Amino acid sequence: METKLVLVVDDEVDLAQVVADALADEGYAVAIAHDGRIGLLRLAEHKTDLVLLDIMMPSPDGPEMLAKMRATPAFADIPVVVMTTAEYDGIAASLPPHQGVLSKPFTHRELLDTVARLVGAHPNA
Amino acid sequence: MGRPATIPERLATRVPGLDRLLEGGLLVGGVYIVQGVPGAGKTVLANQIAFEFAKAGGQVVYVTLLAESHARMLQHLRRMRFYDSSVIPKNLYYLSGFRPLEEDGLSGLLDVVRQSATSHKAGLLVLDGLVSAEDAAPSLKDYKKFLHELQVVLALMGGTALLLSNAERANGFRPDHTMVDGIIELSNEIQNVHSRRYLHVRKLRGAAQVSGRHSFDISDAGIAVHPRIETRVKPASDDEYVPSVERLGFGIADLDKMMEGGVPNASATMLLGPTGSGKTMLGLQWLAEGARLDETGIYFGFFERPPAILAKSKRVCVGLVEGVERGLVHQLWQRPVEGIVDVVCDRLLNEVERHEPKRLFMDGLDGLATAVDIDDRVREVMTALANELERRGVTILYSAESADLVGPTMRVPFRGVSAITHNMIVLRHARMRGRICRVLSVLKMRDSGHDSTLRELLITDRGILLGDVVTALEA
Repeated sequence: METKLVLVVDDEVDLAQVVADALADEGYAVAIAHDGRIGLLRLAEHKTDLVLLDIMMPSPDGPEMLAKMRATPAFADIPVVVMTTAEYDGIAASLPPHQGVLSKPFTHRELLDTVARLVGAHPNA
Repeated sequence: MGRPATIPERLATRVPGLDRLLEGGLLVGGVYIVQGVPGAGKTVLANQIAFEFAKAGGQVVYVTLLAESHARMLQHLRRMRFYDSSVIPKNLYYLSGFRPLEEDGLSGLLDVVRQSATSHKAGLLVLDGLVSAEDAAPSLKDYKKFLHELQVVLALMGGTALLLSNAERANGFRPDHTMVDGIIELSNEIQNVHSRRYLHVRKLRGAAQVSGRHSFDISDAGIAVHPRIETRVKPASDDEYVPSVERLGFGIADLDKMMEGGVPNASATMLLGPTGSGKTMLGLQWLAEGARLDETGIYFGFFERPPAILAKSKRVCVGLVEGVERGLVHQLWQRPVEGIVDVVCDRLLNEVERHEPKRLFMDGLDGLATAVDIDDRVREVMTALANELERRGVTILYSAESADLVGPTMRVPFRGVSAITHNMIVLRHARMRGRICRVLSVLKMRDSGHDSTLRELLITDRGILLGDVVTALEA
């Protein structure tokens, strides 16, 4: 089975690392970025299967990066899960199309289930 | 720019009590250090100010430099009443400055702060974890340069900043303290077995802060600061004093006669006596008499709860229950332990403002004294409270318990109240004709003659009466 690559974009370094480690333990390939600008660079560097994207980050923030992805044909179809501390219902309508949400703080199980739902069962499952 | 239109020069923190200490709020464009040991309440205070500002339509950028995640921080704040998820992220934006600081040092952090504050048009910036910025500075000069540049950025934006710092680092002379517009220090102390929180505005440019330490508490409502009662009341002016001719009687004919009609209006009267000597009943009878005359009164007790007191006094103090039912007599109860005296005084003054009573009976003033955190403050607190009540035209009767159960000597249980006591009624137990009885005497009255004879106090099912003049007490 082809290894899926997940890009984690979050300005909270520790959180991004913990998420990345949890996914790596399950057999996913993982890349990390801490703001939207680096996030877009990573997308250009690697064929990415899923993006876990924080909302509140230094500019370009999550919504800005998501808008740029959807406007770029090469990235437009990559599924995105937004990770948010804000109430999702309050921001959902203002976000470009995305495929899932993880409300912080989320559990290990919620993370793995969400990722598996969008890229298929994780390799170690 | 991102500020509520109603606040032109000062950013109101909207933290109860704090704006009073800051003469209205933080200076717009000012930089403030909030310092305290871990757990002192810095993050709660900053978030409360941030949420209130955001809810009023302002824009806030909250930058953390610490390891705690935003989700974890907000999880703790969610139960607090100021928390409002609808302002995140539109008006309140949380960012981590940890990585830019780690990777690019202070200039990287400043870039993120500048860009974020500009793009969000922030009227308020919070930098949580100033110690990390200090640690990242290669030298003191670089750290000062960072603070200076931060001030320049804020000045350009017209924004205000709160920099949260660990007090353990902040002791002694600090060059950064000379650069900021204000320093708010939070502390947490153990006194006996009680934990008490204090807020101290150590520096405040552009305003005369209310000096000294003030209590604050953290509850589900967030932080509430309680400025020291001594600093918030107007001292009564001697020029304003006019001897009162109005008397507020007890409805006990003989006692009122001894006091030439009752206690003078807007005066303070102490009922001093040992336990069981009749202080509470006499005070309740005074409130009942007020209610009979359609006067508003407040019962403020520290020991027995009001329902129990009312039940006990029902047969003796005729009209008291009816007074409560008619909304003339209001009851306020305060647990005598764990209290903060400034909170207790706030509660009392709020009730006084609400009901505008003519009569106030404070039952067990020693209960109030136990809530005073420092013994030396008892006199100041009592004086301030009495002055304020007098200024509002409230007549106070308060009971104080003396330690001596039986006998001729009588000691006031705490220092500092004699000076504010205009009138004094002494109650005691005495042996007379082979039995223990209650004896009353009027010891002093301001601007008034009085009958100082000893009288037996009779508490009966038909009410409170005075017996014959007592001429011989048995040893």
